Amino acid sequence: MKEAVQRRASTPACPPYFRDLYERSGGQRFGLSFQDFAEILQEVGGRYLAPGASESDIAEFHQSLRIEDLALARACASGCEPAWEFFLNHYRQRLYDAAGAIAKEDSIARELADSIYTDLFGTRQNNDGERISKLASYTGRGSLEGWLRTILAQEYVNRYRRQRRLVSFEERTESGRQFEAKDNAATVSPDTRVEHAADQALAELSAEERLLLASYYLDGRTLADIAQMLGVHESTISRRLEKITLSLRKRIVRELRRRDMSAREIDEALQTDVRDLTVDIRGKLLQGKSS
Amino acid sequence: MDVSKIIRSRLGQQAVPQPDGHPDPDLLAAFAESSLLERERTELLAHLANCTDCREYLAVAFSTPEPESNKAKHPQRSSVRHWFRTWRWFVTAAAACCVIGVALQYYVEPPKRPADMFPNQVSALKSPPAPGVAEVTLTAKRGVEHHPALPVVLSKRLNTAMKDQRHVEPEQPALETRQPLPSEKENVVKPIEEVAVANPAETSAPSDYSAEPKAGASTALLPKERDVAEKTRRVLPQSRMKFAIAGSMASPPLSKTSAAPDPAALWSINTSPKSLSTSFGVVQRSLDRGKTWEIIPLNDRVSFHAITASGNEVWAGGSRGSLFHSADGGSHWVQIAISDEAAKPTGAIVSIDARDPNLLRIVTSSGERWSSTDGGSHWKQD
Repeated sequence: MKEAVQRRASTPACPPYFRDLYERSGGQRFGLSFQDFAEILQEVGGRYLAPGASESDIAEFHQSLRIEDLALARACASGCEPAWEFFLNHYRQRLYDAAGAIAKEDSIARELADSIYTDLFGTRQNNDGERISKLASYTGRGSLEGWLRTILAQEYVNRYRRQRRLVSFEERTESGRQFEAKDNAATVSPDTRVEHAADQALAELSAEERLLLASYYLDGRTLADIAQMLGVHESTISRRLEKITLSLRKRIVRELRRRDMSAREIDEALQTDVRDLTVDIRGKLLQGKSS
Repeated sequence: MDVSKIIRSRLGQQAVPQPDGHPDPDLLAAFAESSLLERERTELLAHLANCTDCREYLAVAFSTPEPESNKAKHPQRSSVRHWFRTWRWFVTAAAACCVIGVALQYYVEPPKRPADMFPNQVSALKSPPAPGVAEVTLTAKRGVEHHPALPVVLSKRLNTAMKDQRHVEPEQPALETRQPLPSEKENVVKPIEEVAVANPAETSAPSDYSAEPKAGASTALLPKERDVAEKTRRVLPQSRMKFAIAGSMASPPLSKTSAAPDPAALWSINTSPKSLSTSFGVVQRSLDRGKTWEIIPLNDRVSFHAITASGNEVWAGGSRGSLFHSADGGSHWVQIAISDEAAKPTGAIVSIDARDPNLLRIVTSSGERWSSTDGGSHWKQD
């Protein structure tokens, strides 16, 4: 009781809309007090909002939170039995379904979902003897189901990468790795002006356009995958990619002309075998992973 | 030239580790669900464009379609947006089709506005009639609603619409084929009422105003007391009145009457409110210069198309060659049988010329012309 009073005294004044959010969240069903709920909102706000954010920005941010999912997750993290019962009834099956969709194999999917479920429940304890649940890190920015899918995907990708590193020497030999060509990163481009022009043109693109290009050309995602990821129709992605590619070609040509290249030289440069360019996609991908 | 290969190679070169670390799963999920604030979305897009790891997480998590069972049971908030993004072109096309359809409907069949077509007649109607003018001959046409708020542009198309309308009604004479009577020089526009009067069934007993058909000029007396007629008068306020081109193109002009008991009486044919779709004409009379109108139910089985009045003499003609006559300003009516030795008139009576007391002439919708020189007792086809 004394702790609660001290905590209440140290909590800054709550905006009036917190009460509405609390009632909408249904936190009272899981024994979440308004004071606890307000602290959660302020913690989430402090995590994402800039220090000098205006009151309207703060209010907009709080209104955008998935407060029902947030209250449920935090109640589960605090060990509330009714909250866990609700989670089991509504999210456990979805967790396993999502794992199946990601792993595409039942045994792997079940193992993946089990490990995540263990993390969600929390097997480790902090100094106060309370379980450390992964659900405590959920902040309500996206839906709880989307968050579960994301941590499943992260776990799946990390496991896959770990397994690739642990490939046995025999398997590497069988796959012909002893005949692997040496990295030809030191290859000099026939004309660095093309690279510079391409870099310049890429730098002029927006972040979303570069994301589309990277997903399609670099990651090798299908149009359907990208469309699903960005929540748009597949034809939209196709149309935008075509438009961006055409625009990029014009920019490269313009940049090459600005660098005093004739039309014939530009044609020859753009017809250069791409293998002559400095290509190290795999190295860059691995570089990002190792960091 | 394959720009895509250059893109691939240069993007691979530019893929550098992100110094600021990776966004947490919350932000990735919010990005995929389009629930990030705009500023955060921009920042995350910039990160994703350069971070292969996060793109992979995102693709693995959200590229795989959600199980159908989950979609059905737990629709997400973003599903509406996704639906809109998927079907927005169909919705736009459907809306465009609706707009074009409405526009075409207005173009092909614009709302009728007689006031625009015959402003002189309407203004003349609104003004008090000249002293002594009591005769109005009208041919029933389909009731036309008055749309005061219609754009002026539409009125330019009304003449064309009216020409089309002439071919719509089989019982109406096509003006091109109809020969107007010599006396028909002027078109008359008459205000008509939208009266909510129950149209008596054809099997019901005739009302007091109904006239029984009799051979020759036999009469069926109407109630003589004027107050009885007043009780049966059905009047609507002027605000509900419509205007129709009742006289069409062949109505005789207004004529002066002598010794008219009620010189302000106006007669018209209007579409029965119970049968708007069939243009069932009923006879109407106004005793207050057109402010209010009453229905004179002569015969429920006859759709009236023409009426003319000269003093107390009132003639009304309609379907199946039916002709009614009142010699006392509409209090009593008789049905006149038109026939000669050889034939009877075919079609509906669409025009009556009774200005000459010694010569009564009618025209039917089939183009026949009949005349009588003895007040309707004997007829011959011209």
